[in-house]
Amino acid sequence: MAAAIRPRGPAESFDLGFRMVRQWWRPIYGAWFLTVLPIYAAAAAGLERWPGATLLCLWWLRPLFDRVPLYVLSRCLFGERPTWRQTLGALPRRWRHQLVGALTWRRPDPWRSLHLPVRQLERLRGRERRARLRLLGTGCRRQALGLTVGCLLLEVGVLIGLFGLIHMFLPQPERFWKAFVENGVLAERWVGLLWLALFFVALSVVEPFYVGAGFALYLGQRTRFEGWDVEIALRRLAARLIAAPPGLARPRPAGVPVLLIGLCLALPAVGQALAPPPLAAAGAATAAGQLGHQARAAVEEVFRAPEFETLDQEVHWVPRSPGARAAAADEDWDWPQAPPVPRRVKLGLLAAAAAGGLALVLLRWRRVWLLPAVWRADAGERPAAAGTRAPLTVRGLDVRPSSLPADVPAAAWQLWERGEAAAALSLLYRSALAALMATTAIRFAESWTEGDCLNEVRRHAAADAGDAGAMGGQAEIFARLTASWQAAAYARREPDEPIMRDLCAGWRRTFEAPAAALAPAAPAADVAGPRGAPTSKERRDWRRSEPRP
Amino acid sequence: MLDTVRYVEAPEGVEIAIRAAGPVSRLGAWLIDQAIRICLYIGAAKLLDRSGDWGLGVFVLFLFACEWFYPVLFEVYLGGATPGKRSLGLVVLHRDGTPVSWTSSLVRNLVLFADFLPFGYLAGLVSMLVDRDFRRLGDLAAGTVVSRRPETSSVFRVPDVPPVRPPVALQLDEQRALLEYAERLGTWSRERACELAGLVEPLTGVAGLAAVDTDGDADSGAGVADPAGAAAAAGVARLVGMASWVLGARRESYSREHEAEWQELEQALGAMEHGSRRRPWAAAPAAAQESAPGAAPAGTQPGAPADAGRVGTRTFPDLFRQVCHELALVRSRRYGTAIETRLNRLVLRGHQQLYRRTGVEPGGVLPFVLGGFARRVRSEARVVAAAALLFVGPGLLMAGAVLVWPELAVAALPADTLEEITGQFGPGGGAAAQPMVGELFARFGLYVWNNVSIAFRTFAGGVVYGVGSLFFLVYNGVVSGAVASHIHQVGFDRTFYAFVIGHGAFELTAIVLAGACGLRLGLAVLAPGPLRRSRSLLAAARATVPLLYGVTGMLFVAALIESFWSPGLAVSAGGKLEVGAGLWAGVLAYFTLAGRRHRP
Repeated sequence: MAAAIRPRGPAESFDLGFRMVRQWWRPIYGAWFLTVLPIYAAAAAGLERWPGATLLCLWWLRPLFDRVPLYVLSRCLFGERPTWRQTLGALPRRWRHQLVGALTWRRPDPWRSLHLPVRQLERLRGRERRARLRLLGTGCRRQALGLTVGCLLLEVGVLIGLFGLIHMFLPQPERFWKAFVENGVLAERWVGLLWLALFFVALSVVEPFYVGAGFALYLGQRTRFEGWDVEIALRRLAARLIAAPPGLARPRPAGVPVLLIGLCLALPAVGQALAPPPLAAAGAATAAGQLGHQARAAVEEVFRAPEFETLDQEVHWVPRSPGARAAAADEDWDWPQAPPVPRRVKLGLLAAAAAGGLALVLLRWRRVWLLPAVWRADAGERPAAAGTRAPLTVRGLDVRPSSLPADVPAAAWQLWERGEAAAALSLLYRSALAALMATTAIRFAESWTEGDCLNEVRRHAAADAGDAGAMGGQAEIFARLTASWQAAAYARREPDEPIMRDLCAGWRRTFEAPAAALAPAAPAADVAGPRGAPTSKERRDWRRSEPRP
Repeated sequence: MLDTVRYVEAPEGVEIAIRAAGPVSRLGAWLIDQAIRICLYIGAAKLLDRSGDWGLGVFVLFLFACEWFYPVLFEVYLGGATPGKRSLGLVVLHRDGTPVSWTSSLVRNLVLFADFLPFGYLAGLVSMLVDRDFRRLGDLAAGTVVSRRPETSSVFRVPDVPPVRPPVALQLDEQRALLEYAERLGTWSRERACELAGLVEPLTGVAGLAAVDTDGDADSGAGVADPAGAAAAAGVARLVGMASWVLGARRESYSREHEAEWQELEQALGAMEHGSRRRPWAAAPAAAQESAPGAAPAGTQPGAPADAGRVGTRTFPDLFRQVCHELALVRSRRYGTAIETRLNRLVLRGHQQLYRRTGVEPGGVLPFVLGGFARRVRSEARVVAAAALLFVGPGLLMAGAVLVWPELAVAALPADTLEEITGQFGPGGGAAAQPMVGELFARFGLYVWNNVSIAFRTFAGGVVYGVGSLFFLVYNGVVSGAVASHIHQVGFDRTFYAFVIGHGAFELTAIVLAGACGLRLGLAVLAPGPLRRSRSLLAAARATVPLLYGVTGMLFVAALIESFWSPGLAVSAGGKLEVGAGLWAGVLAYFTLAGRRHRP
C-alpha cells in the first residue's frame, strides 16, 4: 500500500487524490498521452469535415479517457508500476466493460468520478451495483458534485489562461482575436486545430486529477463505512499467520495479488445485509461447540454494551408546521381539476418506455455490432480468476510448464558447463516443482518456502509409500535438489561436478516421464534444439528469483 | 508513504500534524470570497451613488482597499481566514504552524498578481498542482500553507472487554490495526464487524480450531443451531479483547488522570479565541497574582476573560507545554487515534495562541519613517541603483529619440492617448483649471488605486525570474520619456513640469523602489546561492516587504500632492517648480542621510 489510508472527510480525500496523481504522474501521464493523444490526433483529421461533431464526440468520450488514469492509479496504489505495454494490454477490457451504458444514459452522471471506481474496479451489475453506489454516495454527494463542477471550472480556467498566454506572446494579438471573433470559431483550419490543442491541454491538466480525487473519495468512503484500511491490515495479518505458523513467525509482506483481490472482488456484506460471516462452516461448528452456551451468552452481553451501538445519522426535510403547509397547498394546487398533469404523465411514461426499449435493444445486440471479435476472445476468462488454479510462481520461481525447456537436465547441464551453477540449479528445482505440481495431488501455494515444499513432498511420499514407491524416489531426489539449490542460492556455495551430474541423472530418472507428459508440444528427442538451450530469459529469471535472505 | 498530513516540529519538541488543503477546496473558498466582494462593490456603489465626486473618491479608495487588502485583513486580524476559507474550514498558517503574520499575509496576497498570470490564475494552479503542499506562488514567497482546521476528535473509545493475550507477537502496524478496529467498531454494522473479525481467524481463531479441523472432519456433523453467528461474535469479542490487551490498562488511567487538564486548556483556548485578540496571558499575571494565593484551583473560572492568562493554578504556557508533552507521550505509546487527534487539535490551537505575531514592523511606525526605511533602502543600494538605471536609462533614450524623430512617440503609446495627455497641459486643459474639492478627492482615490497597483504589480512580477519587474520598469520609463519629450516639443513644457515635479519626487522614486524589490525577488530565484530556491525566495520576500510598506506610504503622499497641490492656479508655475525641486532634494537627502546615526 503506497498511500496512507485512514478515515478522511471528502474534501481531504480530494487532496489525497491530487497528491496521488502528483506522486505517480509519470505512469499516469505516460498512459494518458499514449491513449488519449492518438484519439485527439485522429480527431484532428476529422475536424475539417465535421468540426462540431468531432468536438462533441471528443467531449462525449470522456468517460473512456477517465478509465486510463484510474487503471494506473489503482495499480500504483498497491506499489505496482504498470508499464505502458501492460496498460495498453489491459485497456481493451477496461474500455469494453459497460461501454454502452457509460456512453449513453450514464454519460451525464454528475458523480462520475465517484461512480467510476465502483463500475470499473468492482465490476458489479444490476441491483447489487445500485445498492453499492447508494451506500458509497452516502454523505458525500454534495462534495462529489462540487468536485465535478470545480474541475470543470478549473478546466475552463486553464483554457482561459492558455489564451492569455498566447495573447501575451503575440506581437499583434488583435488579429488573432479577430480570427476568433469575426470568422467564427471553426472558419479557418488553424483556428480549429488550435482549439483542439488547447482543449487537449486543458483536459490533460485537469482530468487525471479529477479521476484521482474521485478514486480517493471512493477509498475514503470505503474506509468510513467498511473499515477498508482495517480490512487490509487484518488480511495481511491473517496472511502472515497462515504463511508462517506461529512457531516461526517471520514478517513478510503479503503479495500484491491478495490485496488486489481485496480491493476488487471481496465485497463486504454491509449494505446488502445478508452474507453469513465468512467462516468455514465446519470450523465454526466445532468452535461453537467448544465455546458452549455460556460463552455465547457472554458474547451477547458484550454486544449489548453501549460501545457496540451503531451510529446512523439520517437527514430529512420535514415541513416546519404541517398544518400551515397543507393549507397552503390546498390553496395553490387543484390536483383533481388540473388537466395537463395526466397528459404529462402519459407522455413521460411513453418516453420512458421508448428509452427502455432502446436500451434493451442496445443491451441485447451490443455484443454483435459494437465489439470486434478480438475483444470477445477472452471474455470467458474472468470467472475463473478467483483462484483454485495452481499458482504460476512459487516463492518467485516461475513454475509454468511453458517456461521450461523440453529437455531440462540437458539444459541445466549446459548452464552448469557455462559456469552458471545457480541458474542450472534454479532450472532443475523449478522444473521439479512444476512436475510435482502436475503429477501429484500436492496443492502448492505461492508463499511456500523451500522447506514447506519439501515437507509436503515428504508427507505425501510417506502417505502413499504403500503404492509403487515412485513417490519415494522423487522425494529423495527432491530433498537433495532442495539442499543443493538452497546452498547455491542462499550461501553461494556451488555443488561439485559429481553431485551435479548425479542430480541431473536423478532428475532424468524420476521426473523425466511426468515432464514429458507435461510438454507434449515439444519434441522430446531434440536435445540440442532451440528450446533445449537456456535462453537469456532463463538467466534473467534466475537473477530475479534470487531470494534475499 | 503518501499522506495529506505533514508534521511540523513545535519549539516544545512535539510534532504537530497539519493538513494542507488542495485546489478544489480553495477554488470553492475563492468563489465565495469573490461573491462577497462583488456584493460589497455593488452595495458601496448604491450607497455612494448620490454623493457625486466625493462618493466616487471614497468608492475608488474602497475598491482599492478591497482589491489588495481584503484577504490580508481577514487573515491577520480575523482568525487567519477570509469568510470563504472559514466556511470551508480552511486557515492560512505559516509552514511551522504558527498563525500568519502581517508581513507574510501581505506578501502572499500581493504575489497573487503573479499567480494570476498569464490569465485566470493559470500560474497559481500549476504551482498548486506541482507543489507537495498545494502552495501557489504567493504561498511560496510568503512561507505559508493553506491548511484545514484541525479535526475534532471522534467520540469512540475501545469497549470494555476483558483483555485477551494474542497468541503470537504482533508487529506495530498490526497492533495499530487492532486498535483501529476496536475504536471504530461502533461506526460499522454488526455484520461488517463480524466479517472483519472473521478475516483474522488464525489470530482469534480459538486456537484449537485449526488443529481440530485437520485431524478429522467427521465429528463436526453435530453442530449447534446457530454456530456461525456465535462464532463470529466470539471472534469480535476476542479481537476487541486483544486490542485492549495491546492498549494495556494504562491508557484508560492516563486519560482519566489528565482529562481535567485537557478540559482546562480547552476552556482557556475557547476564551482566548473568542475574547480579545491580544495575548491575554501577557498582561494577566499582575491581576492573577492577587487572586492566586487565596483562590482554590477549582474555584477559578477559566472562562472569564480577565483570568484567561492564568488557567487554574498554572499560566497558560505552562499548561500548554504540559499538554505538548502528553501528546508526544500518547503518540509514542500508541494510545489510539481518537486521543491523539484530540490532543493534536489542542496543541495546534495552543501553538497558534502562543506564537501569534502581530504588528507591522517590530520597531514601530515612527522609527521606520524617521530612518528605518532609508536604512533598508541603502542596504539594498545595488538593486535600487539597477532599478533606477533600468527606469531612467530607457526613459532618457526614448526622450532623446523622440526629440530627434518626433513620430517615434506614437510607438510608445497610442496616438489618441498621447493627444489626450498633451491636451491636459495646453491652454484650457485640466492641469490649468481650478477643480472643486470633491473632484480632487475623486482623483486622489484614482491615483492611489492606479499607482499603488502599478507598484505592487512591478513587485510581484519579480517572482517570475525578475522578468515582470524588468518589463514594468522599462515600459514605464519608455512611456514617461516619450510623453515628456512629446509635450516638450509641443511647447507645453512649463505647465507640464510644474505639474509633474511635485508628486514626481515621491511617485517615480516609489516605482523605482518597487521595481528594486521585484528585481531582488527575481535575483533570489535566479541565483539562490547556497540556499534552496524556495528558501532564498522566502528570505528575499521577507527582506523586501518593509520596503513595500514605505513604497505604499510614498505613493499615498504622491497621490495627495498630485490631486491637491499639483493642479490648480493658486500657486504660480514658478512657485510649484521651486517647491518641487525642494521636494526632490528632500527625498534624495532622506534616502542618503536619514538614520545614519543609528547603529544596531
